[in-house]
Amino acid sequence: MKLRDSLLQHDSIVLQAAADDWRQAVAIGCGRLQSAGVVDERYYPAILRNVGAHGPYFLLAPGIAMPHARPQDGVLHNGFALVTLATPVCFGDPDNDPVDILVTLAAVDARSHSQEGILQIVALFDEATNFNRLRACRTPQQVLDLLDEALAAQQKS
Amino acid sequence: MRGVRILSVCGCGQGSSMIMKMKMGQFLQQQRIDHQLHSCAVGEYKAELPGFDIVVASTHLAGEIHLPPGKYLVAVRNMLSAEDFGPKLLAIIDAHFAHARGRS
Repeated sequence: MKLRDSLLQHDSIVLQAAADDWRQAVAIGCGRLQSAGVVDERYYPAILRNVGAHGPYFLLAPGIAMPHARPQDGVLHNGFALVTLATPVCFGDPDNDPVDILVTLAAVDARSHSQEGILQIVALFDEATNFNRLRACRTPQQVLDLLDEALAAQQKS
Repeated sequence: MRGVRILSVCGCGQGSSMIMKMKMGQFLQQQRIDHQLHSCAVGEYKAELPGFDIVVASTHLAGEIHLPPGKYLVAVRNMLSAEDFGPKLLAIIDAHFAHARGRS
């Protein structure tokens, strides 16, 4: 599943959301994926458990998180949610806090299907300037346009 | 000898470890370092270890990973930035796996 297709099909872009802490922030993307039938009610608590066990290992870079759990933790289909926060939250990681961009990932297996979407996440975050452009997005269409641009740039390089 | 063999590890084996795998692949190719990359979950790394020289993981998981002599760990703070993981990776490659240089 491609990132762009999933965001559109699952109505899973939430911009400038309010969250009091990282748990609430993670809940937003998980909630959208659950409404869309991508994951069931086990997924969100599984992510919290994983953070309890291993720490927030899904922080990619300063400001950016990619919350996810395992396929057997309630994943029904491949999909992504993209959430930006009005006010950043902290995960307790001095290297990457505060975080205000969350790309929630749900994958039915660790192999082929989700790779294409992850490649698109890499494309989006390849340009550091895209971080702030994403933060400035106010409509889902602006996010999709930014993604299209990032993917076009990746194909050229 | 073959190139350097790198195992990318995260909590689940399908998200951050894949991001690191892709970013490191781009970097090692640019650096012309002959390499193999694979990703797995932290619960699986011990079983995979015999086939790998270097393990890369988030700093959060580094404490859970214990390697025998001759294998090396790179703890990554910023998975998207070669400026973060690149120098650490190259230092280990140059010190211990110099044969992988300049063949890819």
